[in-house]
Parts: sequence; C-alpha cells; structure tokens
Amino acid sequence: MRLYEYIVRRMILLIFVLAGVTLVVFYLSHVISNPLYLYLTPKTTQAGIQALIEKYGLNQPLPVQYFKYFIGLFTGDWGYSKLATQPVFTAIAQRFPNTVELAIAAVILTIAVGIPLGIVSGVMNGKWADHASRIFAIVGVSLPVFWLGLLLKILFYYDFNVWGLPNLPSSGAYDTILALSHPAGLSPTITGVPLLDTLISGNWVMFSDSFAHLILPAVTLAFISIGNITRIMRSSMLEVLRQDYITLARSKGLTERIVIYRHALRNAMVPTLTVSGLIFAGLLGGAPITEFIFQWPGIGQLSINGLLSNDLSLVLGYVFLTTIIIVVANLAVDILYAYMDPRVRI
Amino acid sequence: MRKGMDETMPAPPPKRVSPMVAEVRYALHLLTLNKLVLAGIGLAVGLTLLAIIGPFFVPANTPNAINFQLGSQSELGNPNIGWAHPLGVDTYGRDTLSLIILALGLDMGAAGLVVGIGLVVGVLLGVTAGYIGGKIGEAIMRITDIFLALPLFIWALAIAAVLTRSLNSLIIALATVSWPGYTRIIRGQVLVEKGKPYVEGLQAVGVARWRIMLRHVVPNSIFPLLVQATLDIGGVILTLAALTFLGVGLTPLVPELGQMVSNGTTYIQIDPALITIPGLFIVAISLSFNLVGDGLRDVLDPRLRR
Amino acid sequence: MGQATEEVLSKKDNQARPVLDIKGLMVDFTTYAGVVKALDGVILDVKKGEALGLVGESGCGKSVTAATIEGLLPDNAHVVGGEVLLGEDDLLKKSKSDMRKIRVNDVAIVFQDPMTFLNPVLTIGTQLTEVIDMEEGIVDKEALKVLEEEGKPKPPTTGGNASGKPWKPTRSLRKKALRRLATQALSKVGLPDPDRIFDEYPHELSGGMRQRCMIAMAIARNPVLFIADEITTALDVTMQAQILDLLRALRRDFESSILIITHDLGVVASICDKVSVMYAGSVVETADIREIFANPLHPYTQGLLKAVPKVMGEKELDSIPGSVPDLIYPPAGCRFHPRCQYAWDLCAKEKPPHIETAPRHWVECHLYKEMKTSG
Repeated sequence: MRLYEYIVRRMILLIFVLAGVTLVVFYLSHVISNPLYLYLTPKTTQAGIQALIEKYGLNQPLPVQYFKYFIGLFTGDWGYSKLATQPVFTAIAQRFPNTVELAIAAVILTIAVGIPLGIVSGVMNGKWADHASRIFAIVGVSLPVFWLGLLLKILFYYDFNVWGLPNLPSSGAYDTILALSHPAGLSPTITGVPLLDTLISGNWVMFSDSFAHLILPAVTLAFISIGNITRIMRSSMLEVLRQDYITLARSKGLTERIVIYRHALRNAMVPTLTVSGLIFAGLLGGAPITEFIFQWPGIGQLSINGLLSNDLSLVLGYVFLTTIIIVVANLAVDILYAYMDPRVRI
Repeated sequence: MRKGMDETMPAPPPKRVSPMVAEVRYALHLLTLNKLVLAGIGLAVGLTLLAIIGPFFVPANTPNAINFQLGSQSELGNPNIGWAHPLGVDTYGRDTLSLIILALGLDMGAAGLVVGIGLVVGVLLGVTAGYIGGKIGEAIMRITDIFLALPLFIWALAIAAVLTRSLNSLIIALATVSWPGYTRIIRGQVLVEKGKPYVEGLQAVGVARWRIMLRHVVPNSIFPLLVQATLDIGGVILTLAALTFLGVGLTPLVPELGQMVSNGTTYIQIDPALITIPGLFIVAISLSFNLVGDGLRDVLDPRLRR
Repeated sequence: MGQATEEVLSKKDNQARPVLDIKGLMVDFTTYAGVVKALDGVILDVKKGEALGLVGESGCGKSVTAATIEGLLPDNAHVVGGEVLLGEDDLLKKSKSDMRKIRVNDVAIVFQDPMTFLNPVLTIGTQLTEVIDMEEGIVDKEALKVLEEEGKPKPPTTGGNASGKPWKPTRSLRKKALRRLATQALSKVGLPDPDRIFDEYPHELSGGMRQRCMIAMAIARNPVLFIADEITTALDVTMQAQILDLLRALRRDFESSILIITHDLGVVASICDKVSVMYAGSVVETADIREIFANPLHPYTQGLLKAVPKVMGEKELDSIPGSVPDLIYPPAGCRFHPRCQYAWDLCAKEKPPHIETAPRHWVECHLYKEMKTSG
C-alpha cells in the first residue's frame, strides 16, 4: 500500500535525521569539552579518574562510543543525569506529562483565538479589523518569550497581589503545599497529566488549582503562536478569496456567508491546520524558556537546568526526544494534508 | 501619417523607462503604500543609527562604572537619581540609557554577524548544491535537512551546551544553524534558473560556470534571500537574548539586552523597569526587522502585484 | 452620447422589450498605472429566446461587460455611465442583496476554464446541489416524489402535521431528493453515469466533462439570461463541437436568451442569431448573423472577417495593421481610427454615434448615415 511505503520511507528518514542531530551534539560534546567532568567530584583521585574512564568507556575510539550511545538511545538507555540523580530516561519520562498538559492548553488557546482572527482579517482585508489583527499578530511574533512571561508575572502575580486582586499563581504546575495537605493529594495518577487526572477523579480542589497554575504559562506560549497562526490563516484566506472558483460561487448567487464558510474556508484551512500541528509539536518540545520562567516541571525546564549545570546527557536526551516528536509531527501533518486536499495523493 | 492625429491625441503616456527601473519604482511604490512597513523601516534605521552613533556619547567606562549605592535605589525616575539617568540605573548602579545604547550595538552587531556568516556560507553551499548537483549536492542537502529538522532555539541550546561560554561561541553556534535555511532557498532558485534558456545559451558561448552562477543566477535569486535574512535578524535577536537571559555565554556585567533582563529579575518586585525597558528594546529591534521583512515579502509576492 | 445615438435607443424601446438591454455603459478601472477606460458606451440587447454573439479581441471589454451584468466587478471598477436593463430593472441601481437574488434566479454565467472555476475540494455533487437548493420548494416536491416511489406513506400536504407546522422532509430524504435532481441535471447536459460523477472531484474529470458540469450548474436555475464567457476557448476542437451541440439543444428546450462571448467567429457562426462586434470598449457593429458575414460594414469587422484563414483562400493572412490601443490613453474620437484605412479628420475628433444604417444593422462609424425611416 502506498501509504505504508510512504510512512516507512519517512521513518527511515527520521532515523537518519536523529543520527545526524545526535552526532553533531555528541561530537561537539566529546571533542570540545570533556564528558569526564560529568562524573568528577572534587574528591575523585587519579586512580578514581582512571576507573571512571574505564567504567564509561571513555577511552574507546569516538565512533564506537557514539555508536554505543546511539543504540542505547533506542533501548531506553539515555545515560545518567547527575543533576536529577536519575537515569535520563526516567527523569524525562516523569516530567513529560506536565509538558503535554501545557502544550495542549496552549494549542487550544492558539487555535481558538488565532483562526477566527485570521479569518476576520482575511475577509475584511484593508479595513481596520484587518489592520488591528495584523499589528497584533506581528507584535506577537516579535516578543521575546521570556520577557512576555516575566511581564505577565509582574502584572498578574506581583501587581495583582499589591492591588488586592486575586493573583494567578506563577510557578509550578500546582501548589505543592496544597497537594500535600489535601486529603486526596494528586492521586490517582491515571494519565500522569495533573489536570486530566484531577478532572477524571473529580478532585475539584486540585483541579481548579492546576487550572489556575496553567493560565499564565499557557497564555505566554499562546500569545506568540497566535501571532503565527493569524498571519498564516490570513494569507491563506486572501489567496483563496482571489481564486476563480470563489467568483463562480458568488455568481451562483450564494450568500457571502456560504461563499466564505463552505467554499473559501475548506481550502484556506488546510495550510493553517497543518501549521497548527507543527506548532503543537514544537510546544511538545517543551517551550523551555516558558517552563523555566514559570518553573513548570516539564522537560523544557529540565533541559535548561541540564544546560546550566553542564549535564550533557540530559540535554542530549532532551534533543533526541524533541527531534523524534518534531519529525513524526511533520509526517503526521503531511498525511493530514493529503487527507484534506483531494488533489494531493501520496 | 494620419491627418489630425497629433493635435487631437490626449496627453501622451509617460516616457518609457527600462523594465528594471520600472519594476523597482513599482516595488518602492508598493512599499510606501503600507504604513506599517514604513514605520518598521523608520524604526530599524533609527535603531541602527542609535547603535552606531550613540556610543560616541556614552562615557567610555560605562560597563565598569559600578556604583552599588545607586543600584540599590534603582527605580525609574527616582528623584534621588535625578535626570542624569533618564532611564534609571541598573542593579549595579550603571546608567540604563548608556547600557542600552551599548547593548544595541552588541546585539544588532551580533545578529548581523550571524546572519551575514549564515548568508555567505549558505549561499555558497546552496549555489554549489544547485548548480553542480550530483553527490555533493545531495550530501549538502541531507546536512541541510538535519539542521532544519529542529527549531533554532533547540539547536542553539544543544550547541551552547557543549561550547565554552562566550559571545563568540554563541555567534558561531547561531551562525552554524542559520546557514541551512539560506542554502535551501537559494538552491531552489538556482534549480529554477538553471532550467532557463539563457543559461544554456551562456554555456554554449563558453562562459565559465562559476561566472554564470555569480553574475547571472545569484542576482536573480537574491530577493527571497533578502526577505528571509531580514526576518532572520529579528529571529536571531530573540534567540540570542533568550540564551543570554538564561545565562549562557555572557558575564553579568556585559551590556547586552538579554543579560540586562536577567539581571533585573532579582529586583522584579521592586523595580520592574529593569526588566521592561531592555525588553522593550528587544521588541523594537525584532519588530522593526519583522515589519520590513514582511513588507518586502509582500512586495515580492507576484499575486499581490498589479 | 450623440443625439443620433439617443434616437436609435428610443426607437429600440418601441419594439418588444428585450430581455437584456445595455444602453451606453461606461466603466472605468483605477489602477497603479492610471485610469483604464475599459467600456466607453456599450450598446447591445438580447431579445427573448435569442442568442447574441459578442465578438472581439482579448482586452476589448467583453468580459467586463459580462461582469457588469452579473454585478461582479472588482473593487477598483466604477460604472461612470449608462444603464443595464434586465427586463424593466436597471441592474446598476440594484443593491448588493438584490443583485445576489438576481444572480440566483435570473442571470447565470458559465466561465472559461472549468479547472480553476470549480472548487477543488468539493465534489461536483456538492457544488451542483447548492445551486439547486436555492430554488424554493423544489427539494420538497422531489422528496414527495421519492416517498411515492418507495411506496411510503405520504405526509399530509395541507394542514401540517401534528404540531401544526408544514411538513419538512428529513435530512436523509432531502439528500436523496437533491441527489436525484442533480443527477437529472447532469444527464441533461449529456454526462454519462451521472451518479458516479456526483461523488467525484473536479480534478478527476476531463475538461469537457467539467465544462458540462458548469453548464449544468447554470441551467439548473432556469435563468432568464444565460451568459457564456469564452466557454469553448479552453477546450480542444472535438469537445468544442460537443459543447456547442449541447448549447443548441438547450436553446431548443429552454427558450432562454443566451449571450455568447467569444473571440472565435466559428463558434459565433454555428450557434448565434445575432452578432455584436466589440472593439476597445464599445460595440462597433451589430447585425443578424447572415447579414454580418455577407455585408460587414465597419472596417474593423471587415478586417476581422478577412483575417480568418480560409482553406482555399490566399496564401497570406490579411491582418489589421497596428495594435490594440492603450485604454489609459485611448485615441480621441473613434477608438479605431489609428488603424483604419478610411479614417479622416472627423474620426479623430468625434466618437461616431450608434446608428441603424440598414434594417436591424447598427454600426458606429462615420462612414455611414442613419437609414431613412419612412415618412
């Protein structure tokens, strides 16, 4: 089946890309700096160093080291993280659901705001509604994420505090103290995603707490993605509205509403939805900066901490995961594209 | 000659100019139609001027003019500080305005360098890949695929993790990751141009391949590159600021916008201006280049013309 | 407009009111390069059941005229004069929503390139049924027929159902009814296997079949006026012939008036009753089909006819010297005068009036005089 072949081909490409990405970082990390530092403590003796070298195979030729590492990635052995005092794989796996939670929230927000804004902008081309959304969108993509996050924190956390307004929590995914004191805490962990778990088990106190914690980081992330989506939706709409078949639809006497919703949107949505898929994948990569600012316990924050403490295996593991997510997302998006546009057949 | 034709013809059409000039004129006309783009251009030019000329008005010792006394009172327009420091002082008591001017130069210079290196390398590789093709071309494109697989920041993160902490490393890291974008663009253009008849004609006459590439193919492909490069300056600034904010690559005293924001976070509750002001300048740089790049892209777009 | 033209126009009023009557239509376009005076006083009419061919080179304004009738001019176009009468109504004075209703019921247009004019992501069925569904009651009637055929009990047609509301068919019933109406329309335009085509996408059909689908979408509304804008231009000769056969058959069956826009005199000859020749924004000659081939009066028409290659004619093609004028700076007076071998000073000064120089033969040229009416 052609679809099957296509997927297999892409998977092979994925492995190739993974190899390339990890190779670059691995090579750099072993040639430019010395991975030995990972395992050194101030108390390590000369003999101890030698032992370490033996233990971690650091005296083997570089390609061999890389090869072993690469295979290890596929079998779940991503090395050990000094920072997390856990195997890298476990550390990442534990925190991944939190990132998923944030990513889903941000994507929902992005689509809910970005797509209608883009449609309005495209349909009302040239009028003030169009100009307003264009300005909004371009400012959105020009903002540094960390600055936006800090700004929102200042306003909604510190200032609200001072002004006596209920403030939105600014760190963590949930209030740990509350979790500890609440009878049910955060259990049971069904999906691992705090928001969903508390929802499923009817734990309203923790649910609303999780939700409140989600607001600021999700808005931060969404703000910038909304800018992107709006621009793509708008240009897609403009392109479609220029087409001949729209003229025909109007000449049939259809109401403008039907022309836009049935004829134009069906065509204009395609690139937008595919981009949304890519944005979601990108967000799954953890939006490291946002997680860092709001101390959101996801894989992004983990990778930044790893970066700052020179914990290379952590960073590498993170890069590996992110690459897989992004490449697979690209594949899914391409397939979705073919599904949505009957002219494209794989 | 028909009788009566001259006296009764309406005003003759304007003088014909060469098609190239007419195109450029039309492009400029389109550009001016969009007020946002004009604002962007103005902003970009203004910032660049400030970055270039400003440092002459800034006391030379600014980065080291530490005065912790002042710093602890840091608040925008704090009367104790007075108007000697219109934008206030930072956590070390240094004048914010001066720091910003210096930082502008550093950031914009770094971004320019990144994009510049990326362009040169990317174009060379892309033209090679497109024109010569074959195994080399394939290899180059595969490498490009690898780099384009991940977003800029993640790559920068990974590479910054392994390099020594310095501004140069950051620049190199970012440049390494930006060239693939240009390679892909120009390779596509080269492939299109290659197929055009005039190239075959030039080859038949005996013009050297590299000459054809440089003097004919590249100028025809330059516009999309220009658009992308402009947009990339905006993007690189954001990534650079993000990395320095995280503490990768610079020491706290270096006047750099991301670094200044990072310094300001300790005082977040007392003096938010320490964060907002440098950030605003980051936004300004990024916004202006995004606007210009956007405007250029609209001008290029064949569907929006005429 | 000159006095002579006005007299002609008022004379036309006295005869049976035509379905479409365009009087002195003038349309300008504002562009970057200047104001394009696209239509400079177009005068034409189509009577009931008549097929008018509108002929001219590319750029002479044929499509602009069609767009004006349909009310689909782009934003940078301005109507600066004239009237477009559909029956008794001046379409130029209509509001946007009125124009929309007119597009539904009265005027249908079929375009040149069915590949770009059909929506690629919607099936033929969807694009056809949306047209059918706009006619009041037609689906309900068909639904009743479906029920009857299936032997199901018919709902009360008067008095409503239990809750007192008039009966409405269920969704699936509607779908069935619409499908039947659509497939009927598709077979009317000569498409084999309409049931399969209903579910297909435009790119899965051939050019000729797509064109037939567009025609089906047009005739499904039973329009008063049917405009065909270069519908055969994108087709090869065999498909062209088939489409023309289809049009002829439809004319017989439906008695609608047709405005055929084309640059191909052969198409005109095979199907039209009357021909209007356009040049640079006005109609320079109008006559019955035989008359115009036998006795072309306007120098441009003469040139056109001479330029048609004949199988046994001379070896060289007689082309009209010069090129189409720049409509931003059009020639003064008669727009054709720079290319006309008979031109003299008057031609460069005054635009010739639209006069009837022989029975049912109108021309815009200073060479001719108004025919003498009796008395």
